[in-house]
Amino acid sequence: MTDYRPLAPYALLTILALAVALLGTVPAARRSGALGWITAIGAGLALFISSQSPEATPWLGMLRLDAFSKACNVIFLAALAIISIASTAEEHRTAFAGEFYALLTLSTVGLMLMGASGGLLTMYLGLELSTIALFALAGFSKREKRSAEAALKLLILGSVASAVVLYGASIVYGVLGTTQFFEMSAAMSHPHAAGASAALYFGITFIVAGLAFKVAAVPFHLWAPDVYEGAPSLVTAFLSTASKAGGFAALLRFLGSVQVPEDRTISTLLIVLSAISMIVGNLSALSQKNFKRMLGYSGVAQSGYILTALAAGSATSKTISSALMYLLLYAFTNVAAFLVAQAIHDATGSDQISALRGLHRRRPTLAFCAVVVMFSLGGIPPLAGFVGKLYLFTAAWDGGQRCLVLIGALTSVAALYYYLMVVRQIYLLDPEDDRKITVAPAIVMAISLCTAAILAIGIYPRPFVTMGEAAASAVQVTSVAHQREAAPVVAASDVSSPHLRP
Amino acid sequence: MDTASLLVFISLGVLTLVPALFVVNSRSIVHAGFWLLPCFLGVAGLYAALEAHFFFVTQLLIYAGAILVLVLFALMLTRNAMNPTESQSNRLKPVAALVCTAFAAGSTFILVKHPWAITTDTPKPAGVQTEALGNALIQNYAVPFEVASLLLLAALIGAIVLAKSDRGPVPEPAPLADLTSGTAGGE
Repeated sequence: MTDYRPLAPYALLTILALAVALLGTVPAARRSGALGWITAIGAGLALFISSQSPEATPWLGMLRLDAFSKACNVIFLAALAIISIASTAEEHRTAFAGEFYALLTLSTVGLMLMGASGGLLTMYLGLELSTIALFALAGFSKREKRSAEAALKLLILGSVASAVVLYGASIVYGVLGTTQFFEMSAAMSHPHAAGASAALYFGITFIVAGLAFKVAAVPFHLWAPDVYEGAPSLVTAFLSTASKAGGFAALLRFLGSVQVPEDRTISTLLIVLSAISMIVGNLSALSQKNFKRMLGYSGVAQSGYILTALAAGSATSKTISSALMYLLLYAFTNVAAFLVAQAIHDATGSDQISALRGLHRRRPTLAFCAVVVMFSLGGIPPLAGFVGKLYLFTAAWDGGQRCLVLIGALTSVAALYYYLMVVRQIYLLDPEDDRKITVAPAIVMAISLCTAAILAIGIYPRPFVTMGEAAASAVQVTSVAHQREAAPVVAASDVSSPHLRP
Repeated sequence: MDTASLLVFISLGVLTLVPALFVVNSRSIVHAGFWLLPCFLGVAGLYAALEAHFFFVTQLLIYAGAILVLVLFALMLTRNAMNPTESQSNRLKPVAALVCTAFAAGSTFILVKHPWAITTDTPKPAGVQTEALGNALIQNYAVPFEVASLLLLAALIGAIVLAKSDRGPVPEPAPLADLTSGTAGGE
């Protein structure tokens, strides 16, 4: 008998998505900003239930609801809740508020499934669900051409990336005869297995490449700056944090539970991705004038930092825990950064960095939060960004990736320049227009929440490190009990392909 | 693989790939829609050759039958969906062709070299296969099956949002002119 209780957060969010879509048809609910609050409360409730629910691997390991999926849920649901709160300020601008929250929530369900996936099939469907909802969200600003362009770019390139993942998955399935992660490890370590063949690496490379698109790592990053710039800032906030974390969650799940024998090929791939992401991302960000575009390139570089830890070997628990912790603090930091962009856009109609000029006189609290965010992105102590980066680079150094850590440290210095340029605009320059600007209270509240989280993680990171370590040990479980339990799936998977058998 | 089945496979492959090339290269989107038909039939043939009877029937009924008709209806009801005089590619076409050819050659080399495990078992009869598939969908594969329905829901909501024009918070009843000139993308 399957224990269905651990599925409660997933079911709750699905019901929430349907409920807000229906409530969106009630005019009174649309006008009052209630939909956003319902979504935020629902996300909070799901987070609470997720943290309390027992661990399980229902459907013979098709889903793995363990410490890792719980840790991922914290990232996704925190981002959903904060963005929903901020979105209440913009609800009156659109006739599709209900659909907005429904799509955001469905996308979150997809991301949570990626974090909880026990096999390629669940991972792929989670990826598709989260991405398809984001296509529509990127095109949400109907009055702006850039938004339509962003939606189209994301649609075409995202579909190609999905196809690439599927192609890789089909090859891996063909070689190993299973789509379940645990069985893959078993099939590879089998003495008669054609385990480490070129075809297997070829397939895995494709899966990694498709997920690299999701996390916007160079050379699969070309969509990121354009889409980040064109999509509404509230959507970009989700896209650059939760969606990226989903890609990394799937990568960690896949590479962490499938132990490829002598995986030099895969680690070389990750080293290359990481190094060029850090270099290209940071150098391109230097010359940007548009705030959102600059954050887009900075996001590419941040993916590179996280990849340094992955390149150091997915087998160490430090790798997984440091990556998860960085993703969590990055979620708070980057959501806040894009909410600042939204607030400035609402007040001045501009996305340029120069629009931030003299913000300390025009809106001191917002200026303070924005500076905290920029310092955290730049990795200045005692903020969360510093702790996270230190932890990531230590994990990479211990894993033997000293060269990558050096590149990371050097490019971080370059990155500091463009983050400090923003700080200079905010604090050192005098505004051309001295009048106070108005920012919606909901956005101020959301940004303050993020700032508080950045300070809290920076000053007292212990609970988050503990959470990450628990998650890491959950990924690495390759218990015999699990394999025995999962065995019948092989029989079932024969159905879909009667001619292939390992 | 014996010569006969190899011949069948190659001819089905040609039947699938050549129309697929026409789908992406036709300047008129209606023509592209029509070229999908032989492409779908070729895929159905591949399923038949694999003795995957259930997939063969669904491919015929759902793709070649229902979806294709739906696509053509949608295209014919949408005006100016695509400009037939504009080129389908840009100046990077030769570079892209080169990269794709090199990639196809490389992947073929790797995949052909691999010692694929091929069973010589006779496939199960159609009824048994379909029953096993149905059982798998509601047992071990229940999650992917249900998530697929969520995915379609998200796609549906997303398509509606993108296709309708946004008139701000209080929607007025749509004027008639909008129904006739509704190109995808709204305003």
